[in-house]
Amino acid sequence: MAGRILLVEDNEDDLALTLRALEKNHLHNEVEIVRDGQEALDLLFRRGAYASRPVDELPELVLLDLKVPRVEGLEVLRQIRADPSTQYLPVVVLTSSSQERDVVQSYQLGANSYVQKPVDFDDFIEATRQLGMYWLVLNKLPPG
Amino acid sequence: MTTEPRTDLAPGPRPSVLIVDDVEANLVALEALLESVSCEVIRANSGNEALRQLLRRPFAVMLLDVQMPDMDGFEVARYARENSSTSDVPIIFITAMHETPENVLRGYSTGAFDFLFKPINPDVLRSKVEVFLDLHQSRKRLKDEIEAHRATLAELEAFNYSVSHDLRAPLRPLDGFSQALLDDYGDRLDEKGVDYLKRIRAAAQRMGMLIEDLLELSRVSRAELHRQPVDLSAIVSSIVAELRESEPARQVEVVAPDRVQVQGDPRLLRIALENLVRNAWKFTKKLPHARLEFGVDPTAPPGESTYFIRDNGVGFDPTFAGKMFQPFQRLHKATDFEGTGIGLAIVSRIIRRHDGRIWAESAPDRGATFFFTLPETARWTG
Repeated sequence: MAGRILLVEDNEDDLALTLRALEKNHLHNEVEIVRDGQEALDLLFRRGAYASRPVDELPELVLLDLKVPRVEGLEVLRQIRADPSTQYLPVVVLTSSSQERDVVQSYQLGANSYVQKPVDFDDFIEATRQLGMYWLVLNKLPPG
Repeated sequence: MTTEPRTDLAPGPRPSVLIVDDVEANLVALEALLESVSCEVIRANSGNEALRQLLRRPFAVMLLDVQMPDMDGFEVARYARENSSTSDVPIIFITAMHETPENVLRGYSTGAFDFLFKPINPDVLRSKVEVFLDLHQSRKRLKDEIEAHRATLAELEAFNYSVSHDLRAPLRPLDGFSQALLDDYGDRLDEKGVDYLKRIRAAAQRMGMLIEDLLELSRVSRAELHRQPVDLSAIVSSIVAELRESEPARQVEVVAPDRVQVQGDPRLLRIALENLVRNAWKFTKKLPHARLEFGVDPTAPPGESTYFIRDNGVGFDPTFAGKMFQPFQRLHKATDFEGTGIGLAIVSRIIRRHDGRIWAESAPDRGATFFFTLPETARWTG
């Protein structure tokens, strides 16, 4: 099912927790899940299994884990920014890493925001709430 | 200087020495003189041949006859110096005294060079060559060591990365699903069951903090130091403001002079002060009249400036004053004061990286004072 949020995540625990955090913020009905980077790119660029998907069913926000199989997160981000059809698509990098180079690289490649998944689940619910509020409610994309 | 065959140069192949002379008899003579020296002797009978050989392998030294047809020794040297891959091969010019104009000698600004005057004294020749062989070997050893350190650093970096990624990851489901159990099934648990789940959460979060602090410790050790003017007073007051905001109910008297300025890395000094000020804040939490003081110690010896953070809190047993700057040293029960025991280790690393020292004075229930020095050159008068 298409949704407003594309969640790119392969770790089943993190997936369940992220969905639960989204559910706590009443955003779980908006989520489509892919479990690797290649599938994320296929979906966004309407290729392979997603070739027949209408343009208006593309997500409005991508939550991207950096450590995903096949095509790694930063490469997914690079390709999203390189294509005119997705260059303004909001991408939030979700990762467990607090390494400076991951943060810097993500922003260099055009991530809209970088969230280090906190150990404290309450903090994660709050972070998810703010993300949904900002990127799905308040944020205005450039026209076109 | 010994003329014995050298055995201490092993392991690895013997270093190479290039001998350059247009007269075959001179090459044979040089080779014979170098027989007892542990090295590989390569011959070249012209300047062009010498330059070709230089490009083919690293040489510890080149013995270069000055007087040759077509291209003389000084010209060979000039070409060798111009090429970055051959520019630091040491050169021993072999020359008659009268062939050596001083202005030529001054021309070589890079790489080592020396002279041998004809007629050649065998002992002097061997001694000079051995000096350069030694130099070559120590350079190579240093280079190998630097390589090895680089590899270790890269390994550490990779290790940090996986600590940050992989060790933290399992903590999230531990905390998250405990919270899910509490939320969704809490009404089916009795008080004990709820308490157990809360303990699991607390432990996961504590481990998360430990990992964060350990990573911070390694980050401050590796971070590049960017020295610039830093206003310690401004940092202290912004930390205090944050603390007041997070705990508005607490009454803490703060004394700090304006404009205490030093040269240092602003990010690292902030981390250090944050740990010290937060400690002072924490260890005075049970007092109705808490007091926190930051300042410059006027009794410091000349040559360095001593700064301090003082509180009137619970203090510590001075017996442990030396140990508290090591990671995981905690002097208080976790039930009294929370903490990972890494904060002061981080402070200590930061001060040491600024070439300063840190120590603490206290007695139980009589407050604690943490002193740190920064070199006088670090003091900024602007």
